[in-house]
Amino acid sequence: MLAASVPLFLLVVGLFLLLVYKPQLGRRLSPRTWILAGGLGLPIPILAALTFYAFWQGEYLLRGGSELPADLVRIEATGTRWQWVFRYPEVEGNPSTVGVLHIPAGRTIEVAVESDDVIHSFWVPRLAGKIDAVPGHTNFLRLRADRPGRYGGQCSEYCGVGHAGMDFEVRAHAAEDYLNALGPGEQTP
Amino acid sequence: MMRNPIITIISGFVLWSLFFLLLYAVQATGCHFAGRPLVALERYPILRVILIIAFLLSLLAVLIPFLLLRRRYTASRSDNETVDFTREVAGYVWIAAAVATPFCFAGVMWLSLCGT
Amino acid sequence: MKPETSAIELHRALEEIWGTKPGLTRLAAVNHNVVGRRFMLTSLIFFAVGGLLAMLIRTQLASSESVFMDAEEYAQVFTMHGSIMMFLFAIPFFEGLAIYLLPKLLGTRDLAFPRLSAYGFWCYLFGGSLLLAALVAGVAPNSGWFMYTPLSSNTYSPGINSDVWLLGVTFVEISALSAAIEIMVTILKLRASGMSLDKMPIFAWYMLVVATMMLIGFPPLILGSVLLEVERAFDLPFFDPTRGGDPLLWQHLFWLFGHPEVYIIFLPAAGAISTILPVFAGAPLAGYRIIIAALVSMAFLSFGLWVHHMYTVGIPHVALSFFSAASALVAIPTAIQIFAWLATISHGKPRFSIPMLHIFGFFFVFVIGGLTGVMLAMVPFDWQAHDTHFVVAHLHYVLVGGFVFPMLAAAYYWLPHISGRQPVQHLSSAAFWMIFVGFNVTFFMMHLTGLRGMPRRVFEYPPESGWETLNFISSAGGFVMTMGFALVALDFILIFRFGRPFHRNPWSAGTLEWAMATPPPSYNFASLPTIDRRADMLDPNAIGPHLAAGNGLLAWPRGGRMELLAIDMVSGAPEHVVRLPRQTFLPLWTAIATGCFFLSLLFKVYWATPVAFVAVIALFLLWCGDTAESKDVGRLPIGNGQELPTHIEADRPPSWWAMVFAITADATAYISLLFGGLFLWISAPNWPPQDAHEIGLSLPALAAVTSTVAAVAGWRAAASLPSSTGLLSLASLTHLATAGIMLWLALTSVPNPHAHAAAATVFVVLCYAALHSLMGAVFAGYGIWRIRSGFVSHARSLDLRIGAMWHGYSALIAITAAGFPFLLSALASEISR
Repeated sequence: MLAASVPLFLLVVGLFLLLVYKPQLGRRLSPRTWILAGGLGLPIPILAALTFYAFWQGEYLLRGGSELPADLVRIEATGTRWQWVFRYPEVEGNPSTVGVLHIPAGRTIEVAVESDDVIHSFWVPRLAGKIDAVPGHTNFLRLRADRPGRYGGQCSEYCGVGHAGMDFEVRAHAAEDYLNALGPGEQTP
Repeated sequence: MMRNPIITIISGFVLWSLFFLLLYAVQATGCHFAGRPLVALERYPILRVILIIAFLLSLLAVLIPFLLLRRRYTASRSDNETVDFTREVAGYVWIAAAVATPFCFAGVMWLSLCGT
Repeated sequence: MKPETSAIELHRALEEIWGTKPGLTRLAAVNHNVVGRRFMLTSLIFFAVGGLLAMLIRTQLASSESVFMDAEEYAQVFTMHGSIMMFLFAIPFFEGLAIYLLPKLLGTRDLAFPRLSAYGFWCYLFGGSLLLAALVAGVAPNSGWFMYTPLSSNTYSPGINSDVWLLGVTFVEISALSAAIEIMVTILKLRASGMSLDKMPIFAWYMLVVATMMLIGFPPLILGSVLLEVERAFDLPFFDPTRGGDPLLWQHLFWLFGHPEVYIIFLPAAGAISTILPVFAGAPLAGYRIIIAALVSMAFLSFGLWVHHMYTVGIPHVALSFFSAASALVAIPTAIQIFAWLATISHGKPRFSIPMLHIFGFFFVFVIGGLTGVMLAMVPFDWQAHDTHFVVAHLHYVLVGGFVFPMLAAAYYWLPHISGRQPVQHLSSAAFWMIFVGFNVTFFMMHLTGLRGMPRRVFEYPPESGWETLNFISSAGGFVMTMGFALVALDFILIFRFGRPFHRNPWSAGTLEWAMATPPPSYNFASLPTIDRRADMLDPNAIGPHLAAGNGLLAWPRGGRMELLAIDMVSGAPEHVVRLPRQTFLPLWTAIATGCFFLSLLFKVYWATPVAFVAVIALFLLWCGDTAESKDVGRLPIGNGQELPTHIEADRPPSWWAMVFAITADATAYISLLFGGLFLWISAPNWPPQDAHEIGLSLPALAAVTSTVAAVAGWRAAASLPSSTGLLSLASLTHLATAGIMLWLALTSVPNPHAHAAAATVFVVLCYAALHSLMGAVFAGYGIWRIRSGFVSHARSLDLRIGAMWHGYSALIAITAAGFPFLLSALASEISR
C-alpha cells in the first residue's frame, strides 16, 4: 500500500504545482476528461483491487494466517483493570497465568478474549491483529508463532489510568516445553 | 420526473441505504438465531442463501430503475436548464449508486458470516 | 414604491431597522453578521485552548517515563483536546462561517431564523464554558473523546467528569441542530430571485448537503448521550452488560454520528476551496454538476462506514466488508473534487497568493490523509493499526488537511470582507510555512511511531520501546506549528489594525458577497438582486452599485419591518415576502433557562429540572409574539411591479419547512431508539430478561385511538377556521389522554426498569411518546391562544398548519410506541436459549 501511496501522492501534489505554474500543460484535456480520468479512471481500479485483496487477506488472517487446522489450541484471555489473565482449559489442572501467555510454537492458537470490567483490546503486534475484550461478549482471535521466542503484547483500548502499564508477554515454546512451562511451580503469579 | 427534483437526485442512494440496512440487519439477526458464542469457522448455508437473495434483490432494485430512467432521460433533452441540471445530476448519482451496490454487498457471496 | 431619496438615506433607514444597537443591547443581537462573527471568534478561542492542551500532550510524550503529568491529568487533557477540537472548534467555526456568508452568497439579508441562530450561539457558549470550567476545576471528562462505556459509566467513572461531557456536549449540539435547520431552510427558500437550483453558488450546495447530514447525524449522538446520562443518573442499564445492556450500542450510536461528522467537517472546507480556488485560477469551477453529484453520493456513503471505527470489536467479517467497501468508495467523490479543482486550474490563469498557499497545504496534507484513510479502511491493516499512533497521525492529516488549511485559506480570503482591509503579506507566508513544516514534522513521525506499535492514549512508555526519538521529533514539530498559529493570530490582528482599505471586490471574485460594502452593513444589500446565471460567475462590481442605489427588489423598508424574499426552492421564482422578528433578548433568556435545565441535571438538583424545562417551553412560546399579524395583510409590492403575499399567508413558508426538518431530526432519534432496543435483543448478553412485561392490549389500543383522534382533530382544525377552537380543544385533551396512558403504562406495567435493559428501553420509548403527546397538547393550546388573540384567520392559518404536522407526527410516535413493547417481548421470548 505504501508503494502505491507514494506515487499517487506525488502525482496529485505534483499536478497541482505543475498546473499552478504551467496551466497550459493541462489545457489540452477538457475538464470532463480531467474529472473522468482522475476522479474515476485512476481510483476505481486501484480501490477495487485493494478492497477485494483485503477481503481475501482478512479471511486468511481470521484463520490465524494459515489453513485452519483441526487441532486448535484453545486459550482464554481475560482483561481486567489492569492486567491480563490467561487460562488454559485444555491443559490438565486448568492452570492460569497473569501477564504472561504461554503458547506452543508452530500451532494455531484460538484465544477467547473476554473482559471483566471495561473494554480492553488484546494485541500482540508481531503475531496477529487486535481484538477487543468487550464485557459481556466473547471474541475469538487466532494467532500463530512459527518460532519459539518472546513477543510483546499490550492493551490497546484506553481503559483508565492503568492503561499504559497493561502490557503482557507471549512466550512461544517448543512443543515439548509447552506443558512444562504451565506445570506446577512454573506459573507466574 | 418526480415533483421535487431533490428527491429525484437522492433516490438512488436512498435505495442503497435501505439495502445496506437490510443486509446488515439480516446478517446480524441470522447470527443471533445461530446462537452464541460464535466462531468464524462454521458455515451457515441458510443465512448465506438469504443474504445472496437480498443482494440480488438490491441489484435489481437499483439497476432496473436506473436503466428505465436513463432511457427516459436520453429520449428527451429538456430546454429548461433546471430540469436539464436535475436530470444530469440525478443520472450521475444513480450511476454511483449502481456501482456502489455490487461493490459494497458482494462480500455476502463468500466471506465469513458470523463470529470473529 | 420607491420614493425619490438617496442611497445614503436608504442606508440609514435600513441600518436603523437591521443594525445591532450599542451597549448592553448587543446581547439582543440576532443579525447574522454579528452572530456569525461571534461563533467564529468563540471557536477560535476554544481552538487556542485545544491547542494548548495539545502542547501539554506533546510535552508529556517528548520523553519516555515523563513525570510532567500523571495518568489522570493526562486522561483529562487528551479527552478535552479531542472534545474541544471536534465539538467546540471545528463544527462551530464552520457554522459561524456559514451563518456569516450564506445570506450574502445567496443574495439575501439574513438567515431564515435569526433568533434561532442567536439562541444557538448562547447554547454553544454556555455549553462550551461548562466544559472549560470543568477543566479548570480538575473534573474534566477523562474517558476519551468518544466516551466508551463501561469506562464512562457510573461504576468506573463515579465522578462528575462524564456527566460534564454528556450534558455539555448535548447542550452545544443544540446549536448544531438549530444551525442545520436554519442553513437548510435558508438555502432552500431565501435565495435571490431567479437563483434556481442549478444557479446556486457551489458553497451553498456544499452547505445544503452538510446541513442535511447534521440533521441526520447528530440525533443518534444526542440520543446516545441522553441514554448514557439516564443510565448514570437514574440507573437504567442501556449499556451495562450485567443487566442486558451492551457497550457496543454506545459505539454504534456514537460512530453513526462520529463518522459522518468527519465529512460534516470536511465538506464546508471543500466548499470554501471550490469557491476560492476558481477565483485564483481565473476560471469558473469545472464540473459543477458532477461535483454536486459527488457531494450527494459522499453524504450517503459517509453514513455507511461508521463501523470502520469498530473493526476490532468482534463484528463478523461479512458485515465488516460492507463498511470496508463503502469506506474505500468514499474516496472516489473526493478524487472527483480534487481533479475538478485541477481541471479548473489548468483552464485558467492561476496566480499564487496567500489563500492559494494554504490550498497547496491542503492538497499536500489531505492527500496523505486520504491515502492512509484508504489503508485504514482495509480490515486486515486496521486490525494492526487500530488505536495506535498511526490512526492519530491519519486523523490529524485528514482534519488539519481537510479543515484547518482550507479554513486558513478561507480566513485570508474573507478577512478583507469582515474587516474591510486587505492583508499586508509579510507575516502571512512565514506563518504558513511554520504551520506546514511543523505539522508535517509532528504528524508524519507519528505514522512511524504507530507502525512501531505505540498505542494511543498512553501517558508514558518504556525507554526501551524505541519510540522516544520519533516522539521527541513530533513534539519539536508541534511547537513549531504552535508558533506558526501564533503568527497567524498576530497577522490577523495586524490586518484589522493596519490593513489597506480597498474599494470593492479585492480578489475579482464572481460571487454576490462582494457586491456590498465591506465591512458589510447589517442588512447586506440595500435592495435584493435578481440572478440570471450561475451565482459564481457574476460581476459584483456592476451589481453592487446597482443594488446600493436601491434598484433591486424590496428596496425600501416598510413599517420598520425586516423584510426579505422567499422563492420557489426549485425555480427560484419569488414566492412570498418574509418578515423577520426584530432584535430581542429572548434567545439569551431561553438559553439561560436551557442552561439551568442542564445544570440541574449536572448537579443532580432534580426538582429544578422540570421547572427549567417548563421555563424553556414558556419562553419559546413568547418567541411567537412579534412574528404574528393581527389582520390579513394581502399582497405587498416588492418592486418591479410585482406583488407577493407575506409568509404568514403563504402556503409553505420557512417556518413550515423548519417544522418538517425538525420532525425529521426527531424521527431519526426515535428510530435510533427503536433500533437500539432491537440491537440489544440481537447483541446484548443476559437476554432474554427474567421478568417479561405484562402490558394488556386495551390501554395501548386506547392510546393509539386517542392519538389518532388528536391527529385528525388537529388536521381538521386548520381547514375549519375560524371555528377551530373546539377541534383544538379535542386535540389537546386527547393528547393529554395519550400522554397519561403512556406514563401510566411506563410506571405500572413495565417491570423494574433498573433490572434489565429491555424494561428500561420500553420505559424510555413510552416516556418519549408521552413527551411528544404533551408537546402536542402544548401545540393545540397554543393554537387556541392564537385564535383567541386574533392572530389566526382563514388566510393566516400557518400556526395551525404547523401544529397539524406535529399532531400527525406525535400520533405516529404514540402508535409505534404502543406496539413496541409487544414486538420486543415477542422477540425476547423466541427460543430462550
